[in-house]
Amino acid sequence: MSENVTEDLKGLLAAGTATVSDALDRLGLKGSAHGIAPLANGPRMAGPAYTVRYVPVGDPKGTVGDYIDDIPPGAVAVLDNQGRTDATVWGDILTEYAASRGIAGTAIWGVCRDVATALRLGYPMYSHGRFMRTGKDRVEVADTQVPVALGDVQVRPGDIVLGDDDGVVVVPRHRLAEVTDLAVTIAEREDAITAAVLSGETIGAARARFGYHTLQRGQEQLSRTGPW
Amino acid sequence: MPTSLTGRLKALDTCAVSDALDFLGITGATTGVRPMWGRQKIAGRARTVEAVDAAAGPAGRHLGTQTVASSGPGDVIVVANRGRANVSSWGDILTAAAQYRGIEGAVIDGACRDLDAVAEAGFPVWARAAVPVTARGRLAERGSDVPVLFDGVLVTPGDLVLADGSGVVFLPADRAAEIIETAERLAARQDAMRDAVWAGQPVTEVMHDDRFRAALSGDE
Repeated sequence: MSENVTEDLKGLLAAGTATVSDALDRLGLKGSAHGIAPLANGPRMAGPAYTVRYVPVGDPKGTVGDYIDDIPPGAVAVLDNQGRTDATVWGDILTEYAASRGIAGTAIWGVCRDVATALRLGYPMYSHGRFMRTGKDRVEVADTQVPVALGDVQVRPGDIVLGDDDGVVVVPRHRLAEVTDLAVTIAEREDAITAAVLSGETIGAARARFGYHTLQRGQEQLSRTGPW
Repeated sequence: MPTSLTGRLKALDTCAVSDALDFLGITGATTGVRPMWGRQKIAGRARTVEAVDAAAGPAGRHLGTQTVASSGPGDVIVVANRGRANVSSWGDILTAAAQYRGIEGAVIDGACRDLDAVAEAGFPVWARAAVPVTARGRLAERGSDVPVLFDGVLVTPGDLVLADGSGVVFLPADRAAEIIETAERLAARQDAMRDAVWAGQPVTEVMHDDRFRAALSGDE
C-alpha cells in the first residue's frame, strides 16, 4: 500500500474511472457521478476537491466569487450549482487562469460556457453540458470548502476526484488507499482476462478463472464503525 | 493551562487530532512525512512554499527563502513538493535562517539534506527522506504564502500545523477551535482508557469500539 497521495493518484488514473467505479461498488461506496460528462475525450484529472456551493441569487445580490485564487495547483475545482442548466458557472477566463496555475480540472453539477478555450487547452472539464448564458446575477457563491454534491454524490473538501473519458468518480479521502489498491487489483484481473482471450481462451473460461462476474461485488459490509 | 489555540494544540498529539479530523469529516492528516531526527514536537501557523521543477518555474530566488525571510515565532514552514523524495527542498542555510528568525520548524512533502547540521543545530524538520541532492537547478519556487497541496491536503497560509513523532496534521484555520476541542475530549478519554488498563481492566473491554463511540458522542 502506498504511503503517498501522489502515488495513489497515479494508480487511480492508470486504473480509470470505470475500474474505480467497480472498486467503489465492491466497497459499498457511492461515488460515481451520474450525468457529469467530459467536454472532450483525452483530458484526464485526479486531485483533491476544492468545493464551491452556489445558490440562486438573493437580495442584495451576491457574486460568483474570486474563490479560484484559493485553489492550489493540483486540486480539482468542484462546483455545485444544484444541477442547473440555465446559468453557467464557468467560462473562458476561469479556464485560462486555472490551466495557467496548474489546477487539475473542473467538475460542475451544472453547465459551462466558452468551451472553445477548454477544448483548445485540453483543460479537463466535466459538466452537464454546454450553455451560453452567464450565471452572474442568476446564482451566487454561498460557500466554499463545505460538503457539496455532484448529482447524487457528496463531495467533501479534500475528497479525491478522478475524471477521464467515462466521466467522474469521487473517492472519500480516508478510503483513498483502500480504493486505489482494490482498483489496481481489479485492473490487473481485467488485463489478465483480455490477455487470456486474445491468446485463444474462451471468454467464459477466462472470466471464470479470474472471477470476472463478481469483481465489483463486495462481501457484506461488516459493522464499519469509523475510520479508526 | 495554555489558552492560545496553538498552545492548546501543542499540548495534544497528532493522533488525537487525526481522530478528531476523522470524526468531523475534515481532511487534514498526512502520512509518510516523519521527523528527521530525535524527538520533536511543534505547533504553529502554516507559512507555505510551493516547489516546482526548475524548468517550469521562474529563475531567481532560491526555494523557500522568501517565506523564511518573512516568517517568525509561531510560524511553521510548509514546503509542498508533491512527495518528491529524490531532491532536497530544505538544507542547512535555510535552517540557520529559520532559527535566526525564531521559526518553529519545517514540514516537507519531499526531502531535506544537510541532516547532520540540521540535527546539530536542533532545528525540527519533518520530511519523507534525507538525500544529498541539491534543489539548485532542479527545483524552483512557484509561490510563497499561497494555497498548496501537502500529501493531498489543502493547506492555506495561516492554517494550524501540529507535528510530532507520528507525523504531521493540518487544521483549517476556520475549523481549528472545533477540531482542538474534539481532540481534547478524545485525549482525555484516551488517558482514562490507559488508567483503566493499569487499574487491571481487560484491554479487550477498554478498547472496545462501543466505548470509543461513546467517548465521541459524549453519551456514556
